[in-house]
Amino acid sequence: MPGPSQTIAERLTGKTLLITGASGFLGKAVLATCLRELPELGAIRLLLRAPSDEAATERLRHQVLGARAFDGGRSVETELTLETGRLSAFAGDVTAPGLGREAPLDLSDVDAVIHCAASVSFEQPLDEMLELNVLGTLAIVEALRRSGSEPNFVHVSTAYAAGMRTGLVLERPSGQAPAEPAVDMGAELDVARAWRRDIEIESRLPEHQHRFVAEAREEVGPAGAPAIGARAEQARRRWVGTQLSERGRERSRALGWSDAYGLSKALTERALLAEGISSLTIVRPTIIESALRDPFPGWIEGVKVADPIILAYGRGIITRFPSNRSVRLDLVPVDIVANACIAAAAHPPEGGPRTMNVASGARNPLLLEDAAEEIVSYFRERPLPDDDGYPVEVPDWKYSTSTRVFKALDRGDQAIRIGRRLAARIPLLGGEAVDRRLHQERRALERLRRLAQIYGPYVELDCMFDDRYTRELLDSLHPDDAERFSFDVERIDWPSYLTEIHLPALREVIRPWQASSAPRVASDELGAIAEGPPALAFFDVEGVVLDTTVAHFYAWLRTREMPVPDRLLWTLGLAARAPGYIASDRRSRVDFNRRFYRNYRDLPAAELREQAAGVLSEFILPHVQQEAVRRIRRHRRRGDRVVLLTGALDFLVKPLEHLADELIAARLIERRGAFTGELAEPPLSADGRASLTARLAVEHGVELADCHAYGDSVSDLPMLEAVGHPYAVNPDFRLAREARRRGWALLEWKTEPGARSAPPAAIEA
Amino acid sequence: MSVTGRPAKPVRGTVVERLGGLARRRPAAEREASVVEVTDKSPPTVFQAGESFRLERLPVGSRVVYPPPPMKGLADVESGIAAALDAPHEMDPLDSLLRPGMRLTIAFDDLSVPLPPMQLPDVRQRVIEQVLERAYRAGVEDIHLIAALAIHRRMTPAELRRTVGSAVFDAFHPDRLYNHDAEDPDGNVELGPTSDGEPVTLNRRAAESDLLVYVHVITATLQGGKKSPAIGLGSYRSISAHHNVHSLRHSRSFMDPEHSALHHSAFRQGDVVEAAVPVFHVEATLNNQMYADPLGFLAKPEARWSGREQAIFAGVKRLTDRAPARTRRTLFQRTASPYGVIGVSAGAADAAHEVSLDLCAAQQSVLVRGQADIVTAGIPYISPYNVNSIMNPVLVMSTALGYFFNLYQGKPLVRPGGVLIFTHPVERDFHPVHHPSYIDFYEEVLAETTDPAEVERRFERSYAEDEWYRHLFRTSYAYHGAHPFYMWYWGAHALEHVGEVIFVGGHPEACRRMGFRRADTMRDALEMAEQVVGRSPSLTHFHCPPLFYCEVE
Repeated sequence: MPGPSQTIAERLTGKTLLITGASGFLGKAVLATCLRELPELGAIRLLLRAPSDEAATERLRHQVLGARAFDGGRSVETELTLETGRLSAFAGDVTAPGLGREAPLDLSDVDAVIHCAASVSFEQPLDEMLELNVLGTLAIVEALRRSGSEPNFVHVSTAYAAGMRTGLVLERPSGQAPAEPAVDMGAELDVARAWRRDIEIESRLPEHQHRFVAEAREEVGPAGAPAIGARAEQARRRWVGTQLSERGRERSRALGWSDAYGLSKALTERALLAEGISSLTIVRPTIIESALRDPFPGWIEGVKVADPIILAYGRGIITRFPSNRSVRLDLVPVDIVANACIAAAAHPPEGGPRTMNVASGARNPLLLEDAAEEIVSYFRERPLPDDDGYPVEVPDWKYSTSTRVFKALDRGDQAIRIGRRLAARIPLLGGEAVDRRLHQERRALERLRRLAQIYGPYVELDCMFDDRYTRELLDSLHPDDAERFSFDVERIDWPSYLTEIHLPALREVIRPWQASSAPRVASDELGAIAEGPPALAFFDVEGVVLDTTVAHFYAWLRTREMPVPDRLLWTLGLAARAPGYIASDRRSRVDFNRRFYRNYRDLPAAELREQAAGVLSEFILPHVQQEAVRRIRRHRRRGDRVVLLTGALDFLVKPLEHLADELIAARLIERRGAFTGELAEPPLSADGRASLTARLAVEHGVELADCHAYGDSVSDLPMLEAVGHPYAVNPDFRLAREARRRGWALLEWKTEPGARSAPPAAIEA
Repeated sequence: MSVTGRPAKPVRGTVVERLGGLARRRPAAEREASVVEVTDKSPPTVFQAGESFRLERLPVGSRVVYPPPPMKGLADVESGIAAALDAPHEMDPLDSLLRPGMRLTIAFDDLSVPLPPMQLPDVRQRVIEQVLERAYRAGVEDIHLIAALAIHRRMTPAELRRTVGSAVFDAFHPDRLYNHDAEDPDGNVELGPTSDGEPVTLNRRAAESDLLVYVHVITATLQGGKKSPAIGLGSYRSISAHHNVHSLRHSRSFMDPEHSALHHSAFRQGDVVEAAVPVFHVEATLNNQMYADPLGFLAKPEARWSGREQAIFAGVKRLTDRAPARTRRTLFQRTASPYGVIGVSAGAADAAHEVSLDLCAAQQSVLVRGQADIVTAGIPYISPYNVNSIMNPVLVMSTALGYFFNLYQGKPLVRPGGVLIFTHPVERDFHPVHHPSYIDFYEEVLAETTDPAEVERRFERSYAEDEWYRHLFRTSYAYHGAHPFYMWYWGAHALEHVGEVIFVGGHPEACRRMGFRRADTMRDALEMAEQVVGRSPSLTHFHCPPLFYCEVE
């Protein structure tokens, strides 16, 4: 045994360290510290989830060592590299038997383990949580045992494995703390698996199925049945996930834990103790946040437990949160936890398992009130931009009980539901703007509810974590290590940590995400034609090339020779039927087209065709979005074949043949010189267009991935999804939402203002 | 007769004989009253600015050049026309050229002249009616009437009816009265190159006629002459032989045929046309009476407006300042001018045209001594290419730097490196039916470069050959794809000559895109101009319209 006066480096010289979860936040911090501070280590082996050892090495090289934690900083010349073989990664899936490997892994040389791997999602279903965290940990222990090694095992748990306690929380592993329920892990896992079956079945019951379909129809209705089906299935899966995670949370709360994560970590501790590992340290950090010092101050990856709330506040989304002002917000920087783990690995416990709370609440408490004050002043001095780019004015941080918060949320939900129902019933009242607004409001409320449900308990816990054993280890460190591997939470100056380190780091994290919520692209440059080999370019006509609908064509054709009073009367008549048409179009473009074209029934075909001779000058040109013409020309110059797709009638859009290579329009059946009002072919819309694009691509021998498509409405969604380069032009609100979600180019094209300010010209003599 | 030489002998046998010897008398020198100096007692000066007016105070000591007053028109236009047809220059009388069984084609200038359009009846109608009457009398049956569009937009049936009159329209439209189609592959013939190798295309019907009667309306020295059939009935290919940057930079100015490369080239084409088909030219020259009462006073110096006229002006200005764009455009585009016909000449191209040029000089030339550092002018609402339409930014440029700048003989009114200040709102408004290629020219070409030579080299061909533009040009009422390019080249000479162009009240984005500066007030514009031409500059205001030109010494 090494003597007490030895440094960590001396203790670990030539030793082999196994780190799991190195692709995670804490894992990276541990690995980075080892590579930087402990070149004396014999070897570091990493267990990563990957199909093969080569893939694991590749993952290590790019996903782990490529991270910002490993560049710059105080890098030292080290032999601990992939090239020397002293740093190595191997594949292993902790949920599969034998770590999912063909040949059992030889871990006989491992002297110490830092087990960081775990699922840390608060929304994962209980069965997955138990499989990953409990069984996964046992699988590693099993692999070590089989190799015949009995290393010093440092297990990273969580302070919240202690359950929802108030007051002092002792450093005792789960099962040994006061007043804890006995939990049968096997039974819990069985039941959790059974839930999954139950909920999968339930989700397919008609009542739920109808709901998913209704929701999907509302979102992408005009995009056609397959699109609705896909969307409904997505909704169903999401619902199953939510139900499972809610059941897991319910069960965990029933047992005294805030969520399935805490419960699974507690059960892991119990399982490890039951395994009787000779040298075991359970490290229980509280809420891990950005680095205090290493690898650099403010190093963080993604947003952590407390951050969504802080950001939601900074962005003005929430103004109150269910909590108490004197609660201790127990944050701990990631490098402190990493150092504690490494120190524990170098100092095996003497006399049985050791539990260490790595927490700040007991020695250096950060009251929620104080944190709130720092956060408020930070976001007042350096506000975040809102959706329009203006600084958010953050309100005072208000505290309230969770019942009050949830009641307010319910009221908001109710109001929005009524609003949406009204908007759907009276389509004229609705309009894009109202629809969009309601949708945004609902999303904000949903996000808030989720935040409150998931993270609420963590900021509401009125407790203080004892850290006696952690302190003991800290005090026993060699004086050199006390600085290099410090995990002294008393050194944290909370105001400066928050305003100088953590909040700026958060800002950095959300910056790219903020940029994506910038307003629509208006300029040509940003929505430029994607590079690639010449292929096909599909343009929807209504709404993209022309700012019209098939109804406009019809109205123009019927009224062009009417005297003004007749025209007014006629237009009023059509307007009276508009709500019906709009509602039908919302449901399905195909329905709408069929229904609308009945207006042509019994109209004389030859006469209408003759009337249509003036369509180019009188109707099409004033409605052209000239940007589309330039775009089409550029596509043709590139060598693309341009195809115009329109629901308008062939004889009305005929002049557009000269604009593109191909024009695909609707055709009416004609009998005895009159139109029957029926279409000769099914309307070309939604998935029909997607199939057509695919067929044309085959015909012309090009890849769909190289093709371009321009659409304006959600009924174009299947076509846009089918091609490699989709562009949403003046998208309706539903398409805009889908386009943003997928990162498609959003273009805003206009007709010429001259069309409205031109002097009226008599053409007919 | 040479292209540029003037006939040595006095013109004979025309109604303009009464002007005898006017050409040698140099009417410009008799216009000293047209150049007025601004004093501290002068009233503000009226500037046209699109469909509105601005009143600007010019610095004391500035010169204002006013248009000469309108000449008295012929009292009996019908007999004037008859006399010209009966006693043409260097050709036999029309009657003797007409015989039964012949193919007769009458081509006439399109709606780009005169500006604004003429109060009815249009002089073209009067000429055509008389020509037709003689043709009927001679037993000619195969008669076609063709609007000589060049690559302008087609005239609508309504516009054709207005130009030729209802009787002719009803008898001939649409089969025998139609627009020339410069892009019709079958409707045009190549007549072979000129002595300088320029291609010559002519409308097939005209080329295959036994006689082509060309009816000109002359309101500027640019117009008329033997180039007209070659251009008006030509094709993009033949027109581009001289409508290019090189020719236009060497046309100083194109209002002075003797010194215009554009004219020299087009006259060579005219020679080829005349060799292929006998052309009987009829040129009707108009005076400059553009304003109808009660707005006739707008042609007079502001200091001479009566109280009533000032009140009318105040009312009109108030109306145009407040009316929405569509209303203003409708009002202005509806106005027609009570031009007087000051002469009709007919016969061989050069001889007949000579008379017109003399009449133009008599009506329009003003002698101005010395160039100015700064020239100001108000750009009106109309140019040859936006009749019944919208004056878009590219047309503003061509009107200002093409037409206005070039209304000189001798030297430009502004000195080399001087500054031009115009008043116009320069709104980014395009007529979607008439000017589709202009929109793309503005958005695509001007975004890249404003240099005429580069514009021509990089972009002209793709626009000229674009199938969509061609379709719109042939079947709708759109200008040819290449037309905006010509508009830009129209200003090429001015762009080379001046140091800065400033638009007072111009839209910032449109002015920047075209490479011009803009100011909110004339005062600001003058400040900006001083940075280019130095302190205490000389300033001349070109008070046009009505149309006139300066002979600068």
